[in-house]
Amino acid sequence: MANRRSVLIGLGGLVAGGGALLGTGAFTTVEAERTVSIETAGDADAFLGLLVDDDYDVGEDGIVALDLGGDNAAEGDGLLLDALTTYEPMLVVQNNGSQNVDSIEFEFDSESGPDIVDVGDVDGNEFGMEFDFHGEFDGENSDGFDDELETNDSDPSSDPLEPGEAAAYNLRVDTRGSDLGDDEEFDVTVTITVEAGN
Amino acid sequence: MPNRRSLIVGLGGLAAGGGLVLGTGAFSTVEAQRTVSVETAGDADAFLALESAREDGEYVTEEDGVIGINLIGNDQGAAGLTRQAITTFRNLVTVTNQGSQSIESLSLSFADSTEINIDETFSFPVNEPDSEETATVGNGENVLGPAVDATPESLQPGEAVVFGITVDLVDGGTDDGDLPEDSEFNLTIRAETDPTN
Repeated sequence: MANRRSVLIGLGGLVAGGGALLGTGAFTTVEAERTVSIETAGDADAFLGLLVDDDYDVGEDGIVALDLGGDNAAEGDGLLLDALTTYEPMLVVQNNGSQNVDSIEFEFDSESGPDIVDVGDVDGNEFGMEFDFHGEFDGENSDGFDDELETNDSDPSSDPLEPGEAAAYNLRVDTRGSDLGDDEEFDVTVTITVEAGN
Repeated sequence: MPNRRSLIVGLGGLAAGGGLVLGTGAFSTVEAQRTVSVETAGDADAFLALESAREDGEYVTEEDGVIGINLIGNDQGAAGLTRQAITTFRNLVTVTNQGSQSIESLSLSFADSTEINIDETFSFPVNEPDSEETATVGNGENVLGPAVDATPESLQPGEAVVFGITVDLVDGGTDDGDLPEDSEFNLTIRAETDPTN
């Protein structure tokens, strides 16, 4: 019987030696697989809601795109030369997230067309473009809007956009000082960067 | 009795060698059954604890102790991500080392997809709990790597890091800046301790 006891002790030692795998809270590798569910939505219904004036929206499949030429539902064939044109309002940015939005910034870029500069600074092969804050309002999700928005005038740069709130922007385009001719067409990409709190 | 003595010697050698093949030639196989107690725990109580980092209760679900991340919508009525856009959700999940060793490497990896380039589509903003300093870590990269300023280089017992998810549908995603129809992705969270411990 004494011998048999020895056998047990010997194996006990083995288990202890490999014990890094089994002990209390000691592990070599832990791998866990978890599910992440992600979906996209139309611009109006996404975490960042984007709505534009229906008359100028030529986007498809719920992604907004503006046409300032003649192929939209608005009257007219395009922008005036040597003029400042203002669309009041053109764009609504809605906070459909769960935190306050602290900043909204716009960036313009044109690959094939003239350089995009600030309104009032246009010179030569340039084109002026800006979104100006129009007002903040309690928006409802909808596909587009008319231009009769009821707004209060708090500026989101000083007053965060709370969940559910929306900020409306005017679009200003400037051809004063530009050497753009008649019938010129180009695309402008607008990048909207929206920062919310953590 | 002599035979039995040989057996003892043989097993002694096995124990000391830490698993070397049995040396004495008295037998070729020993099989012993011992009890190993294994228990699972909910994500919050496991050695590698996974918990929602959200104060607003959005985006991280928990069912039977297992967490999931849900970026499909929220209580505000949002129905998903903007297409052709880069959306970042910071502070989704807190990963805490509740083991007894230091974690030297921690990676977050979405499984490969035939429909989109996973590495270009997903990355992870990481930070220490309650810290504003955030770094972005690529798919499968070490969250605790030396190039990642916002996190420590190892996670000591009791320490935690927080991760979120960035979904890039400008450079990543499908050709039209969308996600594949199937909206479920598997995220593997892998922690390694120092192998010499």
